[in-house]
Amino acid sequence: MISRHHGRLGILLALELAIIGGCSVDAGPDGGSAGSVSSAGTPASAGTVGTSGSSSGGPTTGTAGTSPSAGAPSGTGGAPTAGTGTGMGGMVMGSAGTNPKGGTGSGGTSTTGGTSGGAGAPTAGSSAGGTGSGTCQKGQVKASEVVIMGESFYAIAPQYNQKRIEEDARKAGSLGANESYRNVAVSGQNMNYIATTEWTAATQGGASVKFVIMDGGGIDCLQGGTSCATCSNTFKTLLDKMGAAGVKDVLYTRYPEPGAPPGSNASLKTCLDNTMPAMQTTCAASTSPKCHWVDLRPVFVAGDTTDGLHPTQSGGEHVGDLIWSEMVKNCLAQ
Amino acid sequence: MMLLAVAGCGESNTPPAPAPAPTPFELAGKWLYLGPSDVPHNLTVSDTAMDYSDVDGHWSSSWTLKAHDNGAHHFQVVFGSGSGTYIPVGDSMSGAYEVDGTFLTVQLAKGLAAYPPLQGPGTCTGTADGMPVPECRLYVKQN
Repeated sequence: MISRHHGRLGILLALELAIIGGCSVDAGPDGGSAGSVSSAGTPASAGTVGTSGSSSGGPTTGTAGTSPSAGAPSGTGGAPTAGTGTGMGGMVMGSAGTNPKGGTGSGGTSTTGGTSGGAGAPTAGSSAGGTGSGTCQKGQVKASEVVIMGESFYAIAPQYNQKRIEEDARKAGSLGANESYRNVAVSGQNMNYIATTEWTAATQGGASVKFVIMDGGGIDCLQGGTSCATCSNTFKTLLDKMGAAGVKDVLYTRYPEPGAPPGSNASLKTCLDNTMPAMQTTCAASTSPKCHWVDLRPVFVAGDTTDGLHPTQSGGEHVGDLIWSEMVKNCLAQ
Repeated sequence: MMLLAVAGCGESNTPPAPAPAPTPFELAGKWLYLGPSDVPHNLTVSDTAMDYSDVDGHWSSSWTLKAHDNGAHHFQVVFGSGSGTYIPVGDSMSGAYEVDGTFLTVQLAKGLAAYPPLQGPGTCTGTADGMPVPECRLYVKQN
């Protein structure tokens, strides 16, 4: 209980730092140096706030923030501030951010270590999905316009992942007490089913969808083989359909390491490792909707699954917290 | 009496031939539940029993395999023992199943009177409403 309590405080602190970092720095012409995002060795400690970049002179290159991860899975990285003032808080995936004002802030690296969970890498410079001013307007997306797709990772009772995301959203005032996201995930279904039947279910009756949280491809791997050759193309087809239907953002969650403990299911791990890079490439290439790739591996630790596939309550908390932090960072369904 | 005596005279002392061994049940092995509506659990099948067990160890149930037919994809089980809030619930069950690669779809029905229809391999949700089909469970073979 104590560590969980501290973990929650840490998340709040990290989020606050991220918001501060994202909004307080005036836009300068240069790429600022991303702050170091160190994550905490103990549960809940946030990383340090990065320093802003220089605001004079020609384009410069920001220095990379580093984000060695350690500590508790709920510890999130701190918030780097970059030259443009829209640097985002720590996240698990290191991705280089670009500075629309000229400079380039290089992203940090994300390594995992310690006893659990990952911290984040900074994205310097640009805001992804947020507003240019560094503010995020709430109430732009209805709960019913947020759809969860995939298979048993999101469908299986008692849906720990979704519950945690919604808990976080309610605490932040982004989801009403009686509201819930729409979950159309169906256990045991492959990527093609997700892209067809589930998408049809999501839009049935002309229902509006603005933001999708999803996975897919895991069942294809469970069907055997060392990779899913068709998954990335099917994913692209789905993204195109989503874009045409008005979906603004998709958050694809890369599966945790399979097995209990995570990583011990070697055959499934091989297939996922072979399949996911192309899925990530497809995600990265999508601009309408904008696709956000979230890697669950760093936060999914021993005890987060018992059967090697599905989250326990702690697994759901770690997955949900990471997804919510990405939603906050990118102003998704706030 | 006469007939019995005659019949008795014809008996030999050789023991009767043993009953043929039951056909191995094709579902024998360990299966991991994927959905759609119960909590994660394991299903362990042998030629004589089916055991359900919660992955966290909170409940379990053991069933004796009364009959199985690999060709018709049917089986019958009788309740043996249970602990915790176990599933499935009943004194006896008839089951229909389909195996598709590493995936197993099982549709159960209470009693031994009739086998339930199976909607389709890999499908335990209603085609019309997407709702979970009661007593339908989807599993994946464990290594």
